[in-house]
Amino acid sequence: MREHPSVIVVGGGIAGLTAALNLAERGAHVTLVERDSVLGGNARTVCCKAIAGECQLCGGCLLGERLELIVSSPVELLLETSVARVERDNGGFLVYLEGAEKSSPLRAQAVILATGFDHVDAHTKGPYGYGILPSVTTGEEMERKIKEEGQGAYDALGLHKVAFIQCVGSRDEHVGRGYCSQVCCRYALRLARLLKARQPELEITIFKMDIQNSGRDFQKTWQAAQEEGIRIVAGLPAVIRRSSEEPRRATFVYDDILAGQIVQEDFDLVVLSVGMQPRRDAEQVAELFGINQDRYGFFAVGDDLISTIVPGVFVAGTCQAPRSMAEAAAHAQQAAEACYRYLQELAL
Amino acid sequence: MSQATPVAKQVLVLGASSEAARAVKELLALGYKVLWVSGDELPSNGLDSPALAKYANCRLYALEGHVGRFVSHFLHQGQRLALSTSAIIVATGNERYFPAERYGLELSSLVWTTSQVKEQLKKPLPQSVLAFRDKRILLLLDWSGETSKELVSESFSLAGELCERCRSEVYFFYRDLTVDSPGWEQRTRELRDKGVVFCRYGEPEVTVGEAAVSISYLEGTVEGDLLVLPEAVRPRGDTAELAEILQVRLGEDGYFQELNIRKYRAGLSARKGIFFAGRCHMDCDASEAESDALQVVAAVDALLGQGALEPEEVIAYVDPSKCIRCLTCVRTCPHAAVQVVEYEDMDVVAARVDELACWGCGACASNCPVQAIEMVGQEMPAWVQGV
Repeated sequence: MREHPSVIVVGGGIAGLTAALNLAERGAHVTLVERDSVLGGNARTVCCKAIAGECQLCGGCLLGERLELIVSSPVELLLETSVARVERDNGGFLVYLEGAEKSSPLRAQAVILATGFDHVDAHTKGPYGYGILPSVTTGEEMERKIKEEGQGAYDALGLHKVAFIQCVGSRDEHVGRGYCSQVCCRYALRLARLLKARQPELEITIFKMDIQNSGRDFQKTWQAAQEEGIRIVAGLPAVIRRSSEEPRRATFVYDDILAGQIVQEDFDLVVLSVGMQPRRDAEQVAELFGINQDRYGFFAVGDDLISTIVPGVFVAGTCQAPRSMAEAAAHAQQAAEACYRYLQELAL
Repeated sequence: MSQATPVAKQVLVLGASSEAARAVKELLALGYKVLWVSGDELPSNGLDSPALAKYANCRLYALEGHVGRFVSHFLHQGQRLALSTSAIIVATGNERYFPAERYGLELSSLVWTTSQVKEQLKKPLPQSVLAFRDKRILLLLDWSGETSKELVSESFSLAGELCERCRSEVYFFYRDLTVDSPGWEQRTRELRDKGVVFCRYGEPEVTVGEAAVSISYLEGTVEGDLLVLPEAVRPRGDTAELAEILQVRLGEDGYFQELNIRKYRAGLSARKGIFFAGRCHMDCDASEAESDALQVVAAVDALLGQGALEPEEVIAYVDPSKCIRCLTCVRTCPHAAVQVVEYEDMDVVAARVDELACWGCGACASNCPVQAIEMVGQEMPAWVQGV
């Protein structure tokens, strides 16, 4: 390839870091633009779910190594910076930044968008009482609490019965999210196993639509959870209410489809397994770069799941579709490959 | 201490899978010289280039050297063949079989596998379509207790094709509907729109009669003309042998195991310069396997693209005069980077760490019973050297 082509990577989460590192290792001049004051994105809130030191392969610790590599790499990092305006320039891009120390626009032959996702806001699922009932929390909150307070965060809360509710805001065409968020089954089962390992007396039930138990790294977790006595029920509640007997508990009615019966049950803690949705600024970013969004608001791509309608603009990670951290990293490396090939052809 | 070692942009791709073909194509586009070798026939898909050498029906029997200068030894048509490459991509795929025991059913005119249906649909018109025209077809997933994304994906495709091309009435039975790949939920919606009926079962009761099959489940009994069962996938029979020759790890499930089991650097084996792509190391369908091949090629090019290799910043160094040749380091090195060799200039036989293959993990140094191994920085800062 001729000289050192310039690439701008937008977003410093797991996908952005991976794409930036790969291209930099291959001789491109890479500038990584991150709006936050720290790198890592959503990956920063994922906690370690190892049970007594045995890794559950959740990927919670994946970020650290990449952060170490990026600071010792030639990738130019611009934190607290966002893209303000984009112009086409001689087949490439002229990107004007906001908040950067640099006042002049960046010139680049290609752009990789890795702007990530937002967690589904559990408030939008009104009947589940999130924000009103003290015993209703979300998977994201649980991850955060364990990350901040340690694995014992839920040990001394006097819990007896815990419910996980799957597919909160996912696989629901009525709310414009007719897709599987990919990660919720995995994090819910791993969190459930972690809680169960620390408090064996805890009764844990996972209410599911379909457990996504494919994938090599997850089969083991799935089998272990069942052996450890974690109950799985096919059926989701419609409404979660305050228990009339014990106001701090939550109660709900569900239809256990496989058992063919309708049951009412109380729980001390209800964890809503919230999924992923496009970032709230996805529309603006799409407009800035002249790319399309799919019917759910993620960036629209061709059959390769990487290229957009604008030559030279590629997407990586969860801004294209929900993915786990490992899958987002792999997708980003594919984006880097597509981008590199594009630069190579440009140079000919 | 050490300098960059020049390496050839030359890669060995092992396997005849579609992901292997994708890796070969991508490497050629990046200007690599590619040696494509398989134990089976190679697909004839128009991949031809002066930079590509193909060897079908070869058996790998030994591997020498390390990253940057691997020499792979094959038996090829009764001849010995030695190929030198800087890196190796293993893309041997998986193996299909029909788990008859777990199903407890024999294949018959009423019980087909997904592959049989696929083959029939590939036949010329009208036989391809007439076999299923206006028939009620019961596709039963998950029943063997195994879910593989490859078979689920194929079952989705078959259900759609049977509906559209053959006007079949398709019932799709499942325990847990697998949709955890981008776009799969959308695929199931489109199938529903085409008329596929999705049925969730708990414990289904399957009956194969004289002229019809039936499945009893939660909501009743469905009778059909044909029962279609997915096959299952497993590691190829030669995976363990290949792992031993390549000195890479296998997972508990018998597939190749990455360096980082958390898959942070997807596709990297424990040995530097050896990569895994596609279905030989992960559960995915054919198109995901090909995407995986692309990201593995990106990793290969990040390693070799500059035409030179440098050691890690910290690597292990054996003092040959202290080594007692106990082989502890050879056994403990997770990356197969240590060998016992003859140091000609010193006239001793002792362990030696290949400096390019070493990840600098320190396993050998901490296990050496006579402290003959030290972890050394590649370049000491000037002030250290001056002291």
